[in-house]
Amino acid sequence: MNRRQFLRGSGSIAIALPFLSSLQGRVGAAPTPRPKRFIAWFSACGTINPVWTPSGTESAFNFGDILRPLDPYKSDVLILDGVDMLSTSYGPGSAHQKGMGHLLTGTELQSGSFAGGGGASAGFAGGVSLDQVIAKRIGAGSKLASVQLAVQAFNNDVWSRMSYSGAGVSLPPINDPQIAFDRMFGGMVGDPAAVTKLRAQRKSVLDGVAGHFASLNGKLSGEDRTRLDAHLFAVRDVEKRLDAVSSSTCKTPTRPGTMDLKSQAAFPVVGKLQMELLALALACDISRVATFQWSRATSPTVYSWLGSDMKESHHELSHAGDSDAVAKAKLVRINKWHAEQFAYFLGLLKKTEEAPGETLLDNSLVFWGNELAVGNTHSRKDMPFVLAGRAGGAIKPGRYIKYPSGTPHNNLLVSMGNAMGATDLTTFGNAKYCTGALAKLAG
Amino acid sequence: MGSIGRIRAVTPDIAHRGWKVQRVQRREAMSRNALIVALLLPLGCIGSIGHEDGSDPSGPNGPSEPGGPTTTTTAACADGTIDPGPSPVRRLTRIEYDNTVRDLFGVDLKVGATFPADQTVLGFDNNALGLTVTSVLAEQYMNAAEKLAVAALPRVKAIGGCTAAAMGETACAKQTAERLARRAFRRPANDEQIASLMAAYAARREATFDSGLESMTQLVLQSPFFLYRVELGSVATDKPGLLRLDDHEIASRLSYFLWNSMPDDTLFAAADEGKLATREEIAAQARRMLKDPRAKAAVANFHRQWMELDHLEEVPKDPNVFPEFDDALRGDLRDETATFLENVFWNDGSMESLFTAPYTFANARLAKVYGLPAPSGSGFLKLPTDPSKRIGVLLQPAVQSLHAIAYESSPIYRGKFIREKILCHEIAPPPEGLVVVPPEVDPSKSTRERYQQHSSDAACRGCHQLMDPIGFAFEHYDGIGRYRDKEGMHAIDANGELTGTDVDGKFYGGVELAKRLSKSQEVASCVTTHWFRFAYGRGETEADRCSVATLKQKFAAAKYDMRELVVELTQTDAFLYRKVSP
Repeated sequence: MNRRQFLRGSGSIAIALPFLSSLQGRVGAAPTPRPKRFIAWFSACGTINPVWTPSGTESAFNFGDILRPLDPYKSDVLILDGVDMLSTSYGPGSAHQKGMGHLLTGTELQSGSFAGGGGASAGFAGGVSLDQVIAKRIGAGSKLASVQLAVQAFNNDVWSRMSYSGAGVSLPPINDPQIAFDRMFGGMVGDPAAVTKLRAQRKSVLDGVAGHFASLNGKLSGEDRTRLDAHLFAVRDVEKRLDAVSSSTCKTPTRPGTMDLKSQAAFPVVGKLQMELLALALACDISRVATFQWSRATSPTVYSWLGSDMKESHHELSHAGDSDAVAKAKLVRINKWHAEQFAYFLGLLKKTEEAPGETLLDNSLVFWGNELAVGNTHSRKDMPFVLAGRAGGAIKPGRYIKYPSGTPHNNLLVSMGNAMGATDLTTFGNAKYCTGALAKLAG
Repeated sequence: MGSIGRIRAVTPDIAHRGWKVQRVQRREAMSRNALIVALLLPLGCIGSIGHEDGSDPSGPNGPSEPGGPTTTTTAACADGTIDPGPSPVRRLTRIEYDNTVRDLFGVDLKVGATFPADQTVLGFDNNALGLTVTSVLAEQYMNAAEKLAVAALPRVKAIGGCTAAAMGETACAKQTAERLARRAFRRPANDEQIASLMAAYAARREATFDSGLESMTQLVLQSPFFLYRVELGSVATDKPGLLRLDDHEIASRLSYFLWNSMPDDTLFAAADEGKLATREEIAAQARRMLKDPRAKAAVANFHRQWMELDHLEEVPKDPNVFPEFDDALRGDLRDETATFLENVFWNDGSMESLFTAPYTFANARLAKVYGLPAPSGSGFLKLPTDPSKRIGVLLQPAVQSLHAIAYESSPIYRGKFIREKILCHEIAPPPEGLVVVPPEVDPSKSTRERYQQHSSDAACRGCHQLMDPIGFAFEHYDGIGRYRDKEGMHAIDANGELTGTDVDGKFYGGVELAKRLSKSQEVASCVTTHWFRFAYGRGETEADRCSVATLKQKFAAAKYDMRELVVELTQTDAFLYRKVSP
């Protein structure tokens, strides 16, 4: 019995956050012309719509209480009202499973109880996710075509995955800032001669590994072949990155220390560190595409740091009835806290100047989604979607747009793809649930 | 921590007004009973899936039905046909990786525990289909190999059994490569593999001899021959397309099934000497291995996943309703059930005891919450239970707490658990389009009354009458599994009913339900199915008909001794043979 697994919510956490200073006023880390960046952001269990929804008109609006932390970035965000996850009305899976699996894929989950659903009724997502489509277009020039980060999303199932390189092939997010650091900044650390030597050593070992895979050629059957090929591809990917010399002038950040990852108290701390690591990786052009997920669909997170009255898990609270004012108030606090985190991240991007008068946020598109609109009804209509950044001019933020009810979110996926340079995309996910690009995003 | 599968919804989906016709997904169509079909079809709640190849092995020539005569299965399989079913190449799970590293190098750093969680497929994290490798994992394999190569260096040298000074550097490196690869790849290495290990050695020999060995070790730990159980050296049979696994492959099948780790010296020696060639020799090894502590860990790994004990860490409980249910208690409940399962398996073995044994294990904290006589001393002690209130595993607080909602019991979840995990039926989730309206708590009605309202709705009844009448039998156990005679002001009504099984009928309470299930051949068949999936790392298929039928027959013949079932799992066509790769 691993007792540690049950020791949550105890112990204090004190770690250094060494990255913030690296970002302040940075200029010129990225190559010219500046690349675009795409970040898909996730928080769980829906929102409280009346408190989330802004009031006013497209250009003159006020945030509701939940999004009020975004006030300093009002000119940088685009609030989307009325977009439905239409595709999630189809295919196998429960509401939470579908909401998560469809969010970036816009198509039905795989069926059967074999993979992804933890033995339940549905499998992993049934198609490639938008971040991976974008990574194929714009990720090649950076060390990592994409990164997947999370805060306490440890499970390997459809509730815990938002990024897919193809149908049923989920990309696991990294929950540990040390591992995230190693993946993003590893190989940059140390004196250049030692770094070069380490690369050579790794390359020689990985060549040997690839040789072992090659010796299996022709000896395995179909499904085995597919799995082993995917593994070899992953090895080659690791090897390829050894050669990728960062073109940035980024100063190597300090590797984070070992920290508690699982306790309640760790959630905001790990989250902040992961946000800073990601912002730095984007600023340094180590990666241009990312997913960032707070917990997972049906989030078990207990937001104990928001007050001693926060005893229930997020998912549990989200099921409270509409008449439960106490639970509703707690959900507002949770969602507002997430808006604060989103604002913090936008702040990191905005502080990073890439050229005079041009920030990292200007060159980014950040999409904040959720697996549900409303927790207690499991509705995926009128999703609480927020965009931020200008995508290098392809998006015109500073607005609140109301779409006609029934507007499918696949249209948004098309538009975000278009904005990130995949201008040939006319549909996304299952075309049945897509009527083309979403209007008005460019202004 | 193992991967956690299903996440429980929190609300008792009481108001499924939008429910349409449901279907039961039979996970184990092999045991399908025509009676069930007859019962369920009019309700519109039957379907069948559950086979990875999409087949339905329960056709007219299928194995015996529960309760049916087992002789028919023997006849169906005794024609000399050998069909081993699929033999997917299996990657080591995180647990197997750590165990293998421990047994290979004597260092127990548990680096595998930091890898991304393995996927749970068909209830277990060792299913080959789920054991894929992404770039993140490949990178972590690399980092782990670098770390372990340093930590294991003295052990690598010991395995090599030579010194550069005495033997000469190259000769000693080569001997080390051969001996290391033989153990790490669980079979004698071929010339090509040795050459590649020597190349890795040579690439860093310019630094030091030790660096060369480290480099070699890094390659070994990232090789597919280490990370996967590759079965290529099989022996031809007189049947076209059919291969018998060679002795080293059998040794690995035994060790990864019974120990979740690599073979030991005895197994290696048996394989080298060709002494794993007969069923008798293999069974003797299995019995030897079951006496090893590693077998205890492997069986515990099975139990943990079957009973979903990892969920205890996060199953939501309302602290206002159940303030006792803190992290310590969650851990205790897990320990109680794990200890109970271990004891039943190893000291008794019978499936009947699994469901009916009148004892449990508790520490002082559990005893206090659950009203047991306080055990003297610290730690867990075996305690008798009141057999009119608690017997077997199903009535334990861990199981009852896992299948309940945050603030009260849940007849639905409990009934669903029995259907799915104990009977191997599957109930599909509610269809799309429903709007869940959470019920207002109504103290004037008991839980049962509120749930009866829901299942009296014609749209819900079709499926819920498969779950709720079983779940109602557990109403004497509250949301954290404490026994109760009353729920608030309401007397408990724990009348229950089983339908569509081989132990159908009306009964009262969890004790009687557990006794019925303990006698059910359908439950025995389900236990067999779970063990099959865990042992072979895959789901059962049409091709496994004879293997499964034989297992059920042997399990019955052994008076449902689960230890015998485990040994029998090493005796099937599925274990001993594989098909020629296409």
